Amino acid sequence: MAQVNDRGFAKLKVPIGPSHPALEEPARFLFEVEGEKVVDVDYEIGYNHRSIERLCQERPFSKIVYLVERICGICSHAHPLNHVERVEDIADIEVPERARYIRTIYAELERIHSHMLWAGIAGEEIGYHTLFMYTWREREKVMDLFEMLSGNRVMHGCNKIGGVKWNISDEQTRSALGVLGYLDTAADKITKAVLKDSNIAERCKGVGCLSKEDAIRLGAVGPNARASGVPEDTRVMCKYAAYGDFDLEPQIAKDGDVVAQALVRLAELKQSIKLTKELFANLPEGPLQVEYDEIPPGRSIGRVEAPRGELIHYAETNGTRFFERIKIRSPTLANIPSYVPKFIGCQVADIPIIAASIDPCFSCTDRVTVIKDGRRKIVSAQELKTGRI
Amino acid sequence: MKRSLEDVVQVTESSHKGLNSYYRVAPDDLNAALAFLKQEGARVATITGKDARDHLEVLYHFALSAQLHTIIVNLPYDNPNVQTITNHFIAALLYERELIGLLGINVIGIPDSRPLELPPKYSDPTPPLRRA
Repeated sequence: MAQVNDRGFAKLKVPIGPSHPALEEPARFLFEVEGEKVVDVDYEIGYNHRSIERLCQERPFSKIVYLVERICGICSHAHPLNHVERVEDIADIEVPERARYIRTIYAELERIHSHMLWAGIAGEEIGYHTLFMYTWREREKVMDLFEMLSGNRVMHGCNKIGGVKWNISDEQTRSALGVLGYLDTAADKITKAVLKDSNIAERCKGVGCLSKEDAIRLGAVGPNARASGVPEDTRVMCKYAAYGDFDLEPQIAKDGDVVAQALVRLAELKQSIKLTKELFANLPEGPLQVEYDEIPPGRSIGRVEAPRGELIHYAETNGTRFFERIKIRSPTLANIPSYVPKFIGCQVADIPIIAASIDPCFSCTDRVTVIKDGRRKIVSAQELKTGRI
Repeated sequence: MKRSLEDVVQVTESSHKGLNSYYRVAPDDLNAALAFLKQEGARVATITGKDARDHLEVLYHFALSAQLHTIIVNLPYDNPNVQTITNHFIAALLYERELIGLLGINVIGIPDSRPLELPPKYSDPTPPLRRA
């Protein structure tokens, strides 16, 4: 018989996930609850593990940019951007200024659509479906912009070692500035709809709190850490791509709850729209890419600020046309431990919005499909392990 | 860093480029190196395990403002034991669990030794990121 505490509640274990209506992403949580209150939580991930790092060691350089682009459907620019910057660092390749600006434009557009996506999902998790519909309708403008610039909504294929593939014409710049003006107004409306709504405040204020000390101790990154007052933004610190040419301030809040998460992301949404306008307006003339001879042995580690936070790529080369090692640390992995203090003490009904609040991303598929000679082949786990595909 | 890591422990190999620094130390010196980095205000960024064919390597990456400092330790292929660093940096727990599952490295003293990504019934004796 289950033990009952002095208030008459038994401690129960409630498994949620990996597939569950309360979770947008496949993770498994084991909650220990007393009545409606969560008193402990354990988590289990790995349901989407695809051996990408192993695959990166089994293929020549030229294939890896495409592979890392497919790690995540939202950060499909952040991964290849970090990857090519690592190789360029190893080989001392100086990327043209115009290419650095174009890379930064794609990175900021990615942040704009990702933060809008988050605001919509957060609205849906608390039952505010109008916010979900409204935000995602405006997000479509960004996806259309991506399609205009690269020909694709999700996989942009923009980065290559030594520069970028796609130029931006004057006509595209004019269209983009028009869309960004529209998004600026839309961002104001979304911000007002979220922050001035008393129902959202009552539903989310004080929910899923993470203190600044816990955020630092548990290694939280990105908007999740900045919502707890940690003033770290890789764009500001590391000044990669073209970020060194612009003045940026990390957007922070102090309460660490769901409202603070919204405050930070909505401020970053406005900041990114403003920055993207400046990037388009000041796009320098010049070549898109430089040629390079070979990649020498070496190693490089670097960080970029993906929409969900600090994304780390480590690359090591050995003088052959294969990588010795590629290591990728996505922001969600760093943010998972911060779930524990967020969940403990919360109500069961708050689990979905707290889970969504860090904007988790375990990516969207747990297998690799290869198209070869026009035929589609689903790769088995054993083939993934051996790299024979 | 005001002082250098080389002032605190014996560094057998080091290199610096841009924002990155790499230091190779003996496994016995790892604890002292980590204590120094913690004192300097570093946080663990991630941990990379590598099969270097005749031995294994563990690369501990630490962020200190814009700088990234990497401590490298070599481990023997057949008996790869390394002390946990969670006593200094609890945020390293998930990264150490990755080392256990994907490279078969024995992390001594880790508070939770479940492999991170692999399914509980994963039965192949060769960890996925080992070359052989």
